[in-house]
Amino acid sequence: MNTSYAKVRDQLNQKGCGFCLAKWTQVTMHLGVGLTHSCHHPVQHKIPLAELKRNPSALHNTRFKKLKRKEMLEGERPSECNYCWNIEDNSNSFSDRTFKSAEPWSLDQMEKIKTSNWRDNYNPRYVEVSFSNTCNLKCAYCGPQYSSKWVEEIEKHGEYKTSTEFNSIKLLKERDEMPLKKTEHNPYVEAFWEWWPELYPDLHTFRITGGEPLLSPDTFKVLEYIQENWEQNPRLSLAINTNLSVPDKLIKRLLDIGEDLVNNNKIRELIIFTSVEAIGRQAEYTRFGLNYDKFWENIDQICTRIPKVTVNIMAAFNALSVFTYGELIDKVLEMKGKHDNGKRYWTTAVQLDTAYIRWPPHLSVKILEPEHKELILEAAKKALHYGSNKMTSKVYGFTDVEIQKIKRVYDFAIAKDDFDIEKYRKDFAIFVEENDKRKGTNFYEVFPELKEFYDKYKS
Amino acid sequence: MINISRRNPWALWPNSICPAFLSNPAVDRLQGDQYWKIDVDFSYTEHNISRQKDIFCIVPKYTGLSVHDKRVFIGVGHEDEDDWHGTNTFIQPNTREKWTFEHFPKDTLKVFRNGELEFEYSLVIRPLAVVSTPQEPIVFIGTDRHIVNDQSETHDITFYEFKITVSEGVICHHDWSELIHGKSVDKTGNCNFLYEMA
Repeated sequence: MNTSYAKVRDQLNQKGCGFCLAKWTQVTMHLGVGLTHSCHHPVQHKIPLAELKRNPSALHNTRFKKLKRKEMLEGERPSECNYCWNIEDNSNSFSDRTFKSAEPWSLDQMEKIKTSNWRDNYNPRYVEVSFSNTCNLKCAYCGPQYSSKWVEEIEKHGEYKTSTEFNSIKLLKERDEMPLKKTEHNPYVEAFWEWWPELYPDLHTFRITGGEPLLSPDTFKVLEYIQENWEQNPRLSLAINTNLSVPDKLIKRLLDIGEDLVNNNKIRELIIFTSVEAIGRQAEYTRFGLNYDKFWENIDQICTRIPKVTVNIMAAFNALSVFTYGELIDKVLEMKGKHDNGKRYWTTAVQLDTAYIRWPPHLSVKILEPEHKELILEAAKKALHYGSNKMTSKVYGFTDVEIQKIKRVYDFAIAKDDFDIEKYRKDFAIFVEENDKRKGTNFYEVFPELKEFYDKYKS
Repeated sequence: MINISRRNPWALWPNSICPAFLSNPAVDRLQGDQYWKIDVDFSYTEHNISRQKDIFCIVPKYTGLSVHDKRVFIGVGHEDEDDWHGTNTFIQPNTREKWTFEHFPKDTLKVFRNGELEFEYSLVIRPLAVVSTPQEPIVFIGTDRHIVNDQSETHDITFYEFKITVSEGVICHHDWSELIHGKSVDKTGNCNFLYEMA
């Protein structure tokens, strides 16, 4: 058992078995919808506008969340945090309550939070913000909450007729969780700007996500604010999620600002997060609206112009990734080698962070035939051979974690569980047929490897 | 086939990169309580002939084959200490040699040259070492206890084949015909790759 995590857990338990610093120190805010949560395990909750009027920090410090903090301070375990309680009650493993509390933005706040009053407002140290769902892509596994393009499509054509009613907006409307349109007044963004001057000096990490953040004027407004006011927080860790598929002028604007922030030490680090999980036409089919070649040109440009920045590719591995993931690994290695300069914030210029998708289930790798699942293992083996060799001067290559995460997709794909393969294979065919109709794409041309599979399940 | 400079030997240490990837890496089978066999097919050059060239060696307990001034040395890594046997066998440079080390646990280590039994070491009283993590076994191929400040890039050893066999069969096989990112691909498909320490 890792003694430092054990120590953190002991410190937390001194206050209560449900005490977790993340409830205070971190927040993810979806301002386009008005939803917030601290860590990603509890479901997001709506930010009451009445609270915002009195207190802009209610973007994080909602009364709902304060009541959960009260429970924690009084030794109880909030039911919304069940994910962690399940782990703690059924294993000896540390739950995320410990890991998140041990994060550098959390741990040093332990004593202050222990002695705080549950009614207190607290400025988080880790903030992730989405200003809106405005996006120019319609990724196959994404949906209306995160993409305005998906909203347009669903409003025009309705949801997909899969067993899951893929991308239905009925439920969003029922829950009052439809994203605000770009043209509408957004009280959450307004509150953010009211809160921001007070929030910024305390931040450890600030991560901007979307939608596509580079299409949001608020993103550049924040970046320019940091350029001007960096002396208030020169140790900020800044991260931006972008699809790198926006017009050149926006990439240039990001690079100009990034160069200034990095070269003049106005921040501690800048990390760019992006996504791709296949190559060429297959990538463009999965991430509708993507220009694959341009995507890599942009990564190349970032790594060239800002020699300290790392680009992290968050690959959402899905059923359409298997045929070209090996070639994607080739491309990532090429870029690692080209931009290996020993100056990066993180050890490598380009990092491939592979995760498998569970939702929508019709795109899960679990629907694939066994021989297709073996391609995932082949890709993992390739990454292993591209691993960074020990005791050599050639240090670039894939890391233990990058390799292991690809292998984990294979383990997930072949694991026996209650996944209803036949149902979701039919859903897959329903999705593809309708998707081709709506988007004018041709699945047969792009995925000849799946022709037989698709034909078998097509109605 | 691969030409090896003694400054850039090769290593069999496949779990060094991603420890969780291989559930049973070949190096973990080279233990004093298991049957194993190593086949090497090599030649060495006249460069640095007066210095010891380790054709292959299993560490941290040293079991392996070395050549020094044409004379063959055999290392036997017992549990207590390594034995170093200077033999009366001499092999010539630029001559292809096939050697086999066959290990019968707690019994014998048999060493064959070109198919003929050349040496035999009893392991009944002093078996080969069983090594466990964190000191996991590593196999080095083509090393040399060279002078550190000698930076010359000479071709010291040529390797044609390296193979490990255990009770289930061949689990690691290299002829360096497929190289990826400084690694020789294991022909068995088990991912027991070798990598160049360049």
